[in-house]
Amino acid sequence: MDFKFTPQQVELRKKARDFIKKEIAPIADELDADYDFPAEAVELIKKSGFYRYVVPEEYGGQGVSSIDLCILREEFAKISTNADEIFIMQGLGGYPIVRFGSEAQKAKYLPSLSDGSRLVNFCLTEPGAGSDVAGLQSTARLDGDDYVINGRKCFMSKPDHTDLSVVFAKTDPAAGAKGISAFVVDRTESNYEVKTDRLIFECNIGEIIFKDTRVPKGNLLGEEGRGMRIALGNLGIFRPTVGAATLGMAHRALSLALDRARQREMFGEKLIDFQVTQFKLAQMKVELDAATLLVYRAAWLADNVPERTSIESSAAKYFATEMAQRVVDQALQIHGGIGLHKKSRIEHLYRAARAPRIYEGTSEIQLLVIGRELMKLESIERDDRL
Amino acid sequence: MDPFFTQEDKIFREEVRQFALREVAPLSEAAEEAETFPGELWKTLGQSGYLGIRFPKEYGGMGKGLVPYCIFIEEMNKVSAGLTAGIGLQAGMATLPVYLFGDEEQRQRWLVPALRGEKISAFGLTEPGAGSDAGNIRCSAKRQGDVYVIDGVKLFITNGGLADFVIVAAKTNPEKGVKGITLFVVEKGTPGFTPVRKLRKLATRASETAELFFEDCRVPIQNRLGEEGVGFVNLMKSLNEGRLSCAASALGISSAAFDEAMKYAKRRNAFGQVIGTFQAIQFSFADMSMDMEAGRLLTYNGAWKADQGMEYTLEASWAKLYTSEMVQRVTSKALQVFGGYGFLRDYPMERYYREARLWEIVEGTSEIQRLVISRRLGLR
Repeated sequence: MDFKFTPQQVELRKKARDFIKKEIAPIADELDADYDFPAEAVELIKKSGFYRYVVPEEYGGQGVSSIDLCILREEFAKISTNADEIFIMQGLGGYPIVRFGSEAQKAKYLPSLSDGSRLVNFCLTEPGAGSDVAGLQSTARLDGDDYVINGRKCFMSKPDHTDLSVVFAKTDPAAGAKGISAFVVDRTESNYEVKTDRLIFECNIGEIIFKDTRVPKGNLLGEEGRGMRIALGNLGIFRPTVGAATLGMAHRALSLALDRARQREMFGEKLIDFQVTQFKLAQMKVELDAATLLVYRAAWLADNVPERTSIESSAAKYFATEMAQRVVDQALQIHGGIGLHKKSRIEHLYRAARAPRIYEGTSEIQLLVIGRELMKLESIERDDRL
Repeated sequence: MDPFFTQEDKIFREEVRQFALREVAPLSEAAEEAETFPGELWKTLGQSGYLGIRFPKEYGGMGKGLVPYCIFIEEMNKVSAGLTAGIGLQAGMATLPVYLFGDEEQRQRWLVPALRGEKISAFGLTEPGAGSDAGNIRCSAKRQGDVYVIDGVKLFITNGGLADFVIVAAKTNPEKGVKGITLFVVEKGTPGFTPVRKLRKLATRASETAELFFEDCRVPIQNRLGEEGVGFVNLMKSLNEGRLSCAASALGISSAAFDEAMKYAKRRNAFGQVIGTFQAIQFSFADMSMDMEAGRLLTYNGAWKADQGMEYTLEASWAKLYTSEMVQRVTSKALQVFGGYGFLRDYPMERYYREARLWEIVEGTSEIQRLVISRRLGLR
């Protein structure tokens, strides 16, 4: 049993660390304290070439691998949650085109995603439909050579500066999940309105409002009614990466906690000399390692056994995101009052750690997925793989 | 000043404690080992008056409220959860239905001798196929002239094999769920009523739990408690009391485990120091104490409200749910303090650990409690 990363994966991680240390770390605090569009960081990441990891080789990319994406997200998230977001959204938005786009669509859009000349968004969530994707209300009506889209999407990434979006809307509102279709919406061709929002932690987020927005019918991805499948089509590769991002957050939190505990003096000793502190740190480490194994196991399956990932990727996302909350919380406790201070990275992480338990499938949804898969199994015996 | 306990309650607690140590504790170990309830204890209990805490003086009771009753249950469980399981039936669950739903003649016939410890009682609702889903019991009672013919099986019936009479819940109307249930008193020796099989259990081994068979068992209509079809509906009125009694039991067990673990932690040596000086052990006790106190407050708040005549369904479920989970946390932590000794039957710790597991299941599982609570919150 080989628990090692391949030499290429090790190399990728090193490359990422070097880049992040040099370019992102110096601006990380500002970047993560800002609700505005992170122009500087976007430029840096575009130039880094890491966007090539979300596009297949045929279209100028490096090829899409869940493990690679996990490595990159883990490293980004250790230093800056916004940098991680800037990186991965290109993948989330672009992957539907990678998997379900026609040759013409892929040739048209993917190279510009790969070189970062265009940013892309994934527009699924609505005020009334989060977990209940099938309940989305946006509509797309065929009218001559266009689809006319009406609806509201929320929790959209960098909406005022991202001019390509994969938008999910119902071409057949009566048909529930089977009525959803996916479209590439290009802001240079189609009009829509944008609003900004502020979340518990600093990121550039907002709403996109489609009012009789005309989208050329050639922008339909796949066929009408395939939207649900397209939306869920990201999950295999990308769900584990959410876990990877939270590994980065937890790793950073544990690091910070260790430093703090080693330095802080009290009652004639260092905080780390107290048994309870040691136990806490030990538990944090165990949980982080457990999550790491789950995440990379899921990513490995996504890359190698794509037909079998449901339980493992949900388990990874669920466990890692919940773990990160616990680890970050405990790390904050170890920091004491200073952990509540705005200047402290742990303070930001505490607020940021709450979100991954909700987005890309809430923890509850993950448990539902796992539960349902279990119900289908005759036995939980494992085969020849972990 | 104490929010829940009067001076009288405090004196009562001390008296019960002494009684438990003097009369019950010495019988506990042998009873656990033999998995047999010591019959001579019934007379002692009858004479003490404690079987009648909840009942009016005219029936030989003490006429006291739920707070003193919970105090009794709590103190008794500190000494022996096993023996108290059987005693609690006699003092509450099996005798209350006679008092609440029986007529005067029935009370004189069964309740009065029960409180004297002369007639032992049991309560038969649960069946192999129906626990939480009480509405789904199969045991039937068909009216034939002036008898009812009872057929069915009851399982997990404490005192079932010892009882002089059993309160049996049976369906007079099988078409209906809970509204088809009627309560009957079936006396020992009635043809067709056979207690079989003393059950071997994870916990409360000192009390005897049985399986009961009813086959063409004929009871006169004078043995029917209350009207047809209201048996379970009636019972639901007394569920809250039972839940608080369970909570009090959990308090007693956790208390005993905590005290034993504390004594052990103060004398056990490891790595050159008494283990009670290790911070992790100290923090564990800190958490246990807080957990127990939270349980205590929930329990006695519920009992106090009951005694004030206030609505206390939520309080009873909260208390039962919380303390049953709490007692597992506390006994697990306490066992951990004991290390390997926690496994030895030479010490009571392993017994507390096993006893702790019962409370999330009996008298309404935790799942049922959560249902009750969420319904009370208006969620359906």
